[in-house]
Amino acid sequence: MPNKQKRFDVLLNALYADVYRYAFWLCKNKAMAEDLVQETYLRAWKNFQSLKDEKAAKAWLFTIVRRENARQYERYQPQLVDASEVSLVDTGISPSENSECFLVQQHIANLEIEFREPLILQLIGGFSAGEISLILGVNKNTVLTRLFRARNKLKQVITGRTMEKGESNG
Amino acid sequence: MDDLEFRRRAYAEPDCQSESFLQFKNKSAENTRFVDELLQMDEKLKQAVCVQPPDNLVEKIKLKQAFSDHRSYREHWRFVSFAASLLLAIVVTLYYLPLDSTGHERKLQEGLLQHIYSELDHLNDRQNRSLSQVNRLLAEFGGSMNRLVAEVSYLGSCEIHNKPGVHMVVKGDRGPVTIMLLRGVTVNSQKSISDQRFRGLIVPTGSGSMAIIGEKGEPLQVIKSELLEQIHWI
Repeated sequence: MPNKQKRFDVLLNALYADVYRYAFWLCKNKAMAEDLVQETYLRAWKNFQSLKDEKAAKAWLFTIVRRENARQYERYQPQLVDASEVSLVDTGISPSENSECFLVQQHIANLEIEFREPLILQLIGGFSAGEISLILGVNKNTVLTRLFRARNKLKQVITGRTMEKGESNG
Repeated sequence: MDDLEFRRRAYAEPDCQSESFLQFKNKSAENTRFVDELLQMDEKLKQAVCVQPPDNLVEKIKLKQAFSDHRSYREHWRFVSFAASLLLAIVVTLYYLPLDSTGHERKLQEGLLQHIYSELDHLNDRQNRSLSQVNRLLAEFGGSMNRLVAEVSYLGSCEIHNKPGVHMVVKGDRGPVTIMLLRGVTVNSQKSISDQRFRGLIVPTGSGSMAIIGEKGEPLQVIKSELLEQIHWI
């Protein structure tokens, strides 16, 4: 038991920030992300014996976050709102504090979830396309396509250029 | 890998380390610049996605874990307590029910023998009671006898095992035989009584029981059969 607690604490301290970030970019809400992380670690603690390889801990925790998010989404069924009414996402950074970072965050938040999620897994988790395909349950080519489209969209809004329009011909 | 594939791959994985990708990247300055621009954008993206977690998140997680453990611990012990109580109840039921039954019968046996020993004089009485005298007493207890099964040397009513009953002594083959008719004192089946001097039977009858106790060697079964045949209860 003490050994289990010790191993769990190591996992908690090492990964909680990334687990929180992934949860935040899934639901785009700080309070919900906090709940998600707490539920995730609670489930992780209860099922800690099922984690055989601690090198796989991050992917394991991210998978729990993903399932927990889906569970909460089913439970609360957020109402659809008109796109024009979507408010800015509170990321903890104000526009005056770091306007460029704030804008990039809003652009990332505006990506559809199918493009945002693999990008977040790659940027935060450091996962390869193959690992992301396992976490998301889609094939690797789909992941590569979604990553391509995610960056293409972001480059368009950040620099005004895309591969198709600006660079593929240049 | 062609140019289009290279560019698509650069967008999907700017820091791809595959040999074919790196070869294509280093093939021209334009390709290198193309990937470097994407890597620069990735730095901005990485900075942007690194939102700050709440300060006390670790403490909250640990607290939730502690609460969960405490609840699990409580639920575990609640279950164990319930199981233990159930087990105890089963053991008590299984153990004490037969013991109570055995205890009741043992007390009855002891009570009957004590009664005989406390009134040993009655074994030597020569009252020679008639059938009608016997029936008058039996009638008070809701019984009647067709005929006497043996000479009745003593007849009386007394309290046996805290219940009023008929106490008779009849003449047997080996000496006096005590017959006690007990209303309201029941036994589930025929029981035996014995000590160093007496042997006896307790037989269930209607709403009570009948005890027949004589000296060792007395043919009690014969007396029992005759009594059961001759005595009727309302």
